[in-house]
Amino acid sequence: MMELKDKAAEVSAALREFILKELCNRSIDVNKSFDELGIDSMGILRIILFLEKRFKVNITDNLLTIEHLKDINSLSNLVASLIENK
Amino acid sequence: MKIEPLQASDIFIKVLDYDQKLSGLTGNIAQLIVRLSDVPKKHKVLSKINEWISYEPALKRILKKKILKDYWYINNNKIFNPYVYWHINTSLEEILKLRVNTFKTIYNSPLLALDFIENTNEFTILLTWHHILADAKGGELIFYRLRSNDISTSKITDQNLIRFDSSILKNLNQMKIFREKVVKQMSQNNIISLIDRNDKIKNKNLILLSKHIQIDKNLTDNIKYRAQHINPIFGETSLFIAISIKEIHKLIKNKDTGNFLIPLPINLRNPTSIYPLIGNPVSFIFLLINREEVENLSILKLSKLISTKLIDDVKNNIINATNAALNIGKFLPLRLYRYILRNTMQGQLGSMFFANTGLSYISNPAGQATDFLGYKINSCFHRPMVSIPPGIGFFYSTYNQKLHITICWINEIMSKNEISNISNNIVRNLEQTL
Repeated sequence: MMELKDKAAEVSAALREFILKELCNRSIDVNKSFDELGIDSMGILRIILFLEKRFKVNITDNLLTIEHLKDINSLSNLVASLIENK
Repeated sequence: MKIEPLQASDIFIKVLDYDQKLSGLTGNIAQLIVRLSDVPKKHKVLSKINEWISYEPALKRILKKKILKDYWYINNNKIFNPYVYWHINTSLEEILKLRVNTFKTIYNSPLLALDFIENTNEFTILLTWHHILADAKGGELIFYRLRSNDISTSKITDQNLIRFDSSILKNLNQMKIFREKVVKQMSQNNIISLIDRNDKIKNKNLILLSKHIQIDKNLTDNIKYRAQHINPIFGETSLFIAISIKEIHKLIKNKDTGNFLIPLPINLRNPTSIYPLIGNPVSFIFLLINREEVENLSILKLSKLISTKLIDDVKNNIINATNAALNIGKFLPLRLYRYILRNTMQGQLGSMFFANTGLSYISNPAGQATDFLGYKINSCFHRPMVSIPPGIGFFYSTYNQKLHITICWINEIMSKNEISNISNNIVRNLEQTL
């Protein structure tokens, strides 16, 4: 069974691929905030929709917090925990 | 000829629909006012522009087609140039009068004009362009492209350029004819204006006026931080809308205007595309906010409500549904289409909003904005046309880590005093909310 850490890594890889393809054509530093990557609010929402569809999770409004939307790592960890608790 | 009265939202949607039908464009004149820290060398500026004109793929396509030649100057070398002027000791206001930005003057406006205004105390660049050429981001991208060193190696790979050729240019004249009809309708007395206290407007020349407010870095950072607690995705945008719509509501407090319909432009440009001159992939979210909500909720609660509505709309694919609704007019008789619009797009047009809270194309990763020759940009204000009604629009964007606010309004609709009060209230509310 996949560890939470592995799941987060899988989500992170998919997320980086999506961002590179759809939102940002520069190299991606996973520790940078979405804002620093030049991703605007519509971009963040597109990311949420992508993650919900790809990993079949429901990211509800109460989960859309500053902590979870800080950067790629924090969002990946959230999605990994949602997959874990399905 | 009897002209049938139109409701505000009908006019707006009809314009949108027509433009979207043609090309995905929203027809408009947009302006970008950029104040530099220093005076650039004139010959370097002109040489850079000439270089850009030679290499810009989209421009080359336009010029090759020669369809737009009426709008462009031609020099002795038979090369089409955009309007480029260098003014000395002239006020920005005078130049803005030349590039008047209203529905009534849209036919006389060049599709792209660059005015360089050199004064003792400041240097200003005014970029005026038709949305047929570029979207709101396009103005910044023109700067970006002028600045880049590799423009000569750019290849035409963007599918939007193909769309630009095939649909927009063919229908340019058709659009002009349509706009004349809309303008006639708008100038009729029976148009219901949200702020129609001054019925003399129909006899006046419509001029777009604007007030610019620059918020310092500390307060800008502070607003950003506080807005994240309203909502981490749409907090800032929602706060700006809430503050602005409250001001509009004060202006119409004693009138039964129904609910507010707020068109919020959504940029559908592929963020990896750096072409400034493309078909404009813009859509709108029409936020419907009840009059009671605007009246009774605090700015904080109203901002939270707007954030939730925005997220729900995007999640429920309302943007695509709006596009479909706007485009359905192609297949329906006009009367039926307008009947559907009247019954599905309820609410008076609130105002136009543009909020760009992320990084801009003219900023480097550290948030420092420079022009195409590397001069630091001190301030930068978007100044799009606003429709009547309501005749006022609010535009928020961040440059050099400072929030820039433009309030645009049509002359005669409001007094300077009212605008002064509105701007004071906006700044005070930005300082105090939360």
